[in-house]
Amino acid sequence: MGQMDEVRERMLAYMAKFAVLNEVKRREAQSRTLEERVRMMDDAYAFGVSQGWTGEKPFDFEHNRRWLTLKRKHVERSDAGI
Amino acid sequence: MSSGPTPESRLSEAASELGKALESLDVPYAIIGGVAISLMARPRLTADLDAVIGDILDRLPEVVLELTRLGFAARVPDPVAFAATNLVLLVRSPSGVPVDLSIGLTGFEQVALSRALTLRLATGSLVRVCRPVDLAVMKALADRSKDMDDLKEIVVRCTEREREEALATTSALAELLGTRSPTDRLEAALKSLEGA
Repeated sequence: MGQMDEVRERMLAYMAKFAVLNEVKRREAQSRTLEERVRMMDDAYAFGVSQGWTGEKPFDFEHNRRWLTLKRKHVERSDAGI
Repeated sequence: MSSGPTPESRLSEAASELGKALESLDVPYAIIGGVAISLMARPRLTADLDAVIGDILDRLPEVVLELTRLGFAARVPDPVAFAATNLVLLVRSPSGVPVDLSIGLTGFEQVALSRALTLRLATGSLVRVCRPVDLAVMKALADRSKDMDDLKEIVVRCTEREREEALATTSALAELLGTRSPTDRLEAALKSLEGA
């Protein structure tokens, strides 16, 4: 195999690796409970703060919106005893 | 924002645990993904810790065994076979964070490993983190909407020379893959700087 072919093979393997990884991450995200998702968001926020983040919004609007929606659902479920 | 005590973060713990473990095993590593973006650019949501690691294919069983001994748990039934096939080792840190270790066999991953930055976390631990220029190439090659968001954030942290380097590297790799998409993504991110 020529050197360029080998480099190309490695790049194709690199791309394939991330295709597999993205699928694993997608499956894991789907199986995550609401509580785990809220905890994940709190944790990512805590990480930012611990590293000195002082901005108004820790994440972009889309993330922030999802965060608040999930938090609200979480509180509603807790209040309903679910 | 609250000025109360710094909250504990499992991501910090996981990064510290990973750094210590891989250093004890003499495995070169550099944190990439959401945690790297959070450290280099601005915080963003991430559920896991990603890192590129050196070529450990000839010592996979030993590395997996040692990581297990250090408290890391496998996330797939046969992590050695999975990693040998897919070039990614999937574990969970002792603190419970999913950790994706991408075995870096390509030239650009090896360059990224060799010039990773050492950063101090709030926990006091020193960890190796991929440079913005190398993160830019990785994000340009990836193809998810959040990668494009990350790409726009990370090119801000690159010098003009690093942006040129990232574009040259991305173009060469994209050409090898027979696509222009990564180059287009990086060019779009660089263009977004003009309006910033």
